[in-house]
Amino acid sequence: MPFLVNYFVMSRQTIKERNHKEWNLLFQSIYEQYYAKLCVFAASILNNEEEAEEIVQNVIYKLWEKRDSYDSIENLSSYLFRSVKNHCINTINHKKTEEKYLNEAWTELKSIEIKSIEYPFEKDNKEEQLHSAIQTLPERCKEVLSMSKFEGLKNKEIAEQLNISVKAVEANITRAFSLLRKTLSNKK
Amino acid sequence: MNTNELIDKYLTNEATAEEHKALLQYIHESEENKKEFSDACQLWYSLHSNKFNNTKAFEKFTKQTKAKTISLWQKLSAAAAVATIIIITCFSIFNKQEINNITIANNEKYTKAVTLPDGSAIFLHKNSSVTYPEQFASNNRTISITGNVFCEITRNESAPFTLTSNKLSINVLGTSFQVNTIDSTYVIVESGKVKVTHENQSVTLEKGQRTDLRNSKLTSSENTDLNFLSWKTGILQFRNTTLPKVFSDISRHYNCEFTINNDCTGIATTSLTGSYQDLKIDQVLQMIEMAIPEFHYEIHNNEIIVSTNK
Repeated sequence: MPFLVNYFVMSRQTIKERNHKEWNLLFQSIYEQYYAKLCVFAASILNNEEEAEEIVQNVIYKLWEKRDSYDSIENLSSYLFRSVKNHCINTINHKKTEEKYLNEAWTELKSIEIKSIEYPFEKDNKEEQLHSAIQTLPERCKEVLSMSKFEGLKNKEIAEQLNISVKAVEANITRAFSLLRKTLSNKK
Repeated sequence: MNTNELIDKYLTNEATAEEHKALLQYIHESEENKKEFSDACQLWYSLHSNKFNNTKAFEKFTKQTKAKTISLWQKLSAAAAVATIIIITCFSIFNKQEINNITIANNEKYTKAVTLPDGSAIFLHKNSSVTYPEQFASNNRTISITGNVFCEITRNESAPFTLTSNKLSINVLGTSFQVNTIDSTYVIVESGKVKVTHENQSVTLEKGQRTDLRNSKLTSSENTDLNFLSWKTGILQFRNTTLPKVFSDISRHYNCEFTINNDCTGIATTSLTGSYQDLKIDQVLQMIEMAIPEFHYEIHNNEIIVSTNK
């Protein structure tokens, strides 16, 4: 019996190896292209960055498990965003879900949001403009936003480092976001 | 509210359903508005995406897929082992006489009585079931149940009686007791002695005692619930019982719900003594209203509305 099992493991691995590598490359590119966006998307529904990452990992992992039917997915991007959205809604308290998320307006807004961020952003001078706009922010806003955008820290980590609450971090980021939008739209 | 605020609220997940509608309407008004919304989304994503490190996430992912490939083979070898055991069991079963199991479920409102091959009686409350062999073995009697049942077990010391539910296992010699597994899990003994086991803990109960399974722990106490068997006996008894408890016993017995109007003060401190046998619910409520005229009862289908009598 042990011999039989070993035999299967070995022969199976050599057959699988080549495919495995190819699949790995494909999934690596999925991570590069979609992971962060899917996380931002999930976090904006859940208000929780850790849970958002967990859900996105799960969704991609499910795709890996079903990779035999990968080719039947017509639009990968909309498949991923849709799965993440459904998973998020499922984890949210039922009562909240009904009143807030199951209305058509929300669904339509989400699909416009996805369309606007789906593809890699155009490489124009937007990043540069953004960079200089960030410099004009009030001190606290700038500090919080830089930690989040440039150092890639989570809201929770920023809160710990600055010794303020997560809510305060969120408030500062929202404020920074509002101010940046105004500055950037004036420049046009 | 201006649209900037609406967009902020939407992206920070603070907007209400109404605000979602307003924002959507604004977007549909013109291409320019739509562009404004798209730009805001892009900015929001560009401010936040660096927090999520795709390289690290991908490393985690590859670890997971590798682990799964190995465990698939572990599973396969385990499956092979299980298959062998099943084959062996099949052989041993075929060598023995085949014993059929009988399952009786009660989906009706009324109590159903089932007599087991040894003469023991099982009373099934609504949504309950019992599974037992066509014929008991000579040295043990084993049945399984779901829901809420009352058992009167015939005494037979050479063949101990065992009852199992999804969480509990109960060993008895000869006795009568009630097992409930709906909502809360408990066992109440009416006569005799039983041993209740949950995982690796067990308690022995005697007449008038009960044990409750809460947070995976068995807690025993004296039973103070006079009406635990009302569904079987048809008798509701109250001895200086406060009205909230009276209502909860009535609602369990008749499968109805009480709604208490805000004007009913003093319900919690009013108590009732009385015994009601095989009555309809409106008769019981009439009699309670005669005993305690302060409160009035109105029946709407399954709902009973309690208000103050003026």
